[in-house]
Amino acid sequence: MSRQIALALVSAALLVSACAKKRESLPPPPPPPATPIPLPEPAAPPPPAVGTTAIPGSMADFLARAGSDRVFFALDRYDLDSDARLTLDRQAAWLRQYPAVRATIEGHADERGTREYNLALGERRANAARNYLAAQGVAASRMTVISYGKERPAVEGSNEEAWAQNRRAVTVLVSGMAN
Amino acid sequence: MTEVRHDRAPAMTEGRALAIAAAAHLALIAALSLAIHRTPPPFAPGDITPVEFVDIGAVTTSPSPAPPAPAPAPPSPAPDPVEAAPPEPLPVAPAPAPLPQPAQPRDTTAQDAIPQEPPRPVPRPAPAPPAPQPFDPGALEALIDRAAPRAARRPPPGTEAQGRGAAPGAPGPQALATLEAAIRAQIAPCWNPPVGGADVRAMTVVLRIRLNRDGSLAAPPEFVSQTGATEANASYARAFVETARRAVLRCSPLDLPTALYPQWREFELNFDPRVMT
Amino acid sequence: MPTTARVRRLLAALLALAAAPAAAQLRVDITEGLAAPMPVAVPVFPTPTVTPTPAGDTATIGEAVARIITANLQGSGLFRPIDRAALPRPTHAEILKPAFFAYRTLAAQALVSGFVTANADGTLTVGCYLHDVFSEEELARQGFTVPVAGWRRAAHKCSDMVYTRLTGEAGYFDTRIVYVSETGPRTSRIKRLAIMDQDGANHRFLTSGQNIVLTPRFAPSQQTISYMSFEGNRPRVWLYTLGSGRQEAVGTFQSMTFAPSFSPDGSRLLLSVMASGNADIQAVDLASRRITRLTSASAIDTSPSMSPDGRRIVFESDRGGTQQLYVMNADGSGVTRISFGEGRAASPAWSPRGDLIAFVRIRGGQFRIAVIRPDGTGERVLTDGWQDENPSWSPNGRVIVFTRTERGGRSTLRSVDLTGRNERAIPTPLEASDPSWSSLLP
Repeated sequence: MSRQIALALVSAALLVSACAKKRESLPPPPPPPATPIPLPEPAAPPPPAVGTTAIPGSMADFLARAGSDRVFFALDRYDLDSDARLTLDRQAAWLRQYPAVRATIEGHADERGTREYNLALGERRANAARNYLAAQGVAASRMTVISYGKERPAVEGSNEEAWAQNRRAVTVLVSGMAN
Repeated sequence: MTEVRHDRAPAMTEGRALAIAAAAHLALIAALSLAIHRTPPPFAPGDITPVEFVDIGAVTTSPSPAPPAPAPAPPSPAPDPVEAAPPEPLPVAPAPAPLPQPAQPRDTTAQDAIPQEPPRPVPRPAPAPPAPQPFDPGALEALIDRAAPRAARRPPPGTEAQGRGAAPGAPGPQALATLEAAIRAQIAPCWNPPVGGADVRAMTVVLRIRLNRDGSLAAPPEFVSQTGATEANASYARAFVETARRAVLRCSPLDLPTALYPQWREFELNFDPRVMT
Repeated sequence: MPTTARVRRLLAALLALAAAPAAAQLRVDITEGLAAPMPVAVPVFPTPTVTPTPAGDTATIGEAVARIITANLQGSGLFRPIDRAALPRPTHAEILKPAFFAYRTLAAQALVSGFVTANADGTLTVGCYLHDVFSEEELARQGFTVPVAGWRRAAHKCSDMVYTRLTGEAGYFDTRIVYVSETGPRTSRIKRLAIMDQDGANHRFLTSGQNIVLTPRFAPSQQTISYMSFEGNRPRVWLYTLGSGRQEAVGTFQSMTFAPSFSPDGSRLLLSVMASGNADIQAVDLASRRITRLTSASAIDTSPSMSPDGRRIVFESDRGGTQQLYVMNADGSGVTRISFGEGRAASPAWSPRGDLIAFVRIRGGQFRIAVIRPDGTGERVLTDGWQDENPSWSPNGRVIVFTRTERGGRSTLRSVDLTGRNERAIPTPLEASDPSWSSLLP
């Protein structure tokens, strides 16, 4: 019995001290978590093969039908080339088919630019993609844009290949998809 | 084993533990809020360094109350006896346009030279680390070649003309150039001009140097004039003058040909770093 | 008697002048010197009575103070502290009467000495003296009373006193740097605001890492930091109040805001506002929250930085096709391009001294820190990294701190002085970017 009380006291004390400690340590936030925080950006899986059985209206379906959730840009450019327009045409078709779906267009730049300029450049790219989708009949009100500048590369590496993959605009479905 | 017991015990006392924890929390909160009310915490939550550091009582350059030992007067290296040139300490904050001292009559005759009894020589410092090569008057030609190319083409010291209207016995221009080069070669390595200052390109200072026959300083270097000093750069200008004065102090005694003593007994140094920065 | 002597001397002088122009006083031009760091001695700061404190006893603190001053002066590149092991260990009583001879034999030109005493109220007093070793004059002295926990600041203040007195320029040691601490893989980088003393001590994190944070900038008061955060997936400019930890978004912009910087008087915040693919520079009056648009070109106008007199703003714009530097009046009028030549020019920062603008020179695949005069002349590249960016000035306008990113993405903080000869790493616990240097602490 007394042992139980002791235990209870200890655990209570632990709880309290944990709480008190939390209070104290609030100002200097805890050291970085060992695992990275999950990101809004999709991990860019290769688009599933043609004969996919994705649920219609789902993210997987979007990827399968559009071929890709992203388009790429030339160095320091934000105009859409024919490949990009083709991808966006398919994205637009899908989005028209599922009008409840809302999307965020994320713009990105490669690491070879200054931070502030790349934020603006990423936004220009996202805007270019959104404007194109809107021109293809996707209501602009369904889409928001956000630029990550050079802060969220899709792939690591300091070479042309990596940079080409990182200069991109990604269409991320945020709501209204089938599960 | 222990684990089992551990598992069971909290289960049985969970309610009580919670109650105690709740009570303790209340107490903690009460204590905390009390503490907050009673004594204002030294730092607000999330506070950073500035509040931790309170800087008080800066004892400024004026006579200070703080220092430990008495006798704050720094030993004055200035010589006292001679009435001739009162050792002019360097201006602490160079006046916007310091006027050159009214030129001291120059000692050109033997009889005038006598009263200049050398005061206690300034303690000889270790020679400056860089380029401490002993000065060799025999190598003057080489120095001339580098420092004063114009003079280099002239005949060597021995053959030079007596005069061009100079006072009898006065050394010719070649000898003077040689002397200049010798002085320059000994002072320059000791001079650490403050580089990178905003106004360094436009600044020069002239110091008057008085030497004893053995090359030691007969008086501290005397400020004559300065260019490029403005109100805005006053502290830089002061630091600049001090680097020049320090160069002379560091490199004295100078090793100069005794025969030319009348020429180097008193001279001026113009410190001009324009070309080096 | 003095009169006759003077008259006689005067006559002699006149005679000499008239008769012998060749005997005119010798004047020697010294046009060369030694552009080398000045040797200085910083012996251990003694304590009259060894007293224990929470930060160690006063003797230990006295040694640490000397060590910090040594590191500061050395780091400036302008001084060469002499190995402390070779120096005398002055007693408390010797501080005012230093053994100059000993320092002269070590070729020291200046002596930095002082003492540490513990006060009855738990504070410390640090005395700081600067002597000229050759003239044996006291050049400066200051005393600092600090809470025990703040003893390092006394060392920094002493360093500033020495630096100022010997160079004639303001110091920069009693300052802090706010920056972005980085960990994790590049594709999911965790970025946190962090603050530390200029020498890396007293390091603290200010944000948790939950949101991407970028480009912090100190307000002149040093009590506020402006930065960009992706909080709530709405990238925009925030203010962080040190002390309270309060965070507040700036303005009610509907689109991304970024690249904040304060006006030198702290009353206004300049930032870039993104709208339909263009970025314009706007100014937010922090008291009234009134917003003034300063640029409206169809271009990316960003990285505004105001001159110390508050009259002009330098910024970067791609209105001419590529990123270049432009200067305009504080009201947005009179835009003039100042960067020319091969390559691009980005991220300008106006020196607190006013005479130079630091920026990133992008040329031949290299991003390097450079300086240029506000009229566009005198461009000089100071660093040689693969990707150096985010220049921020020390408060005296002599040193620039910046981010260096290596191939592969590793990023660290470095500093370089105006000569470009003195470049060094600034230690941080993790990878680091986007430094901003505070003004001198009060």
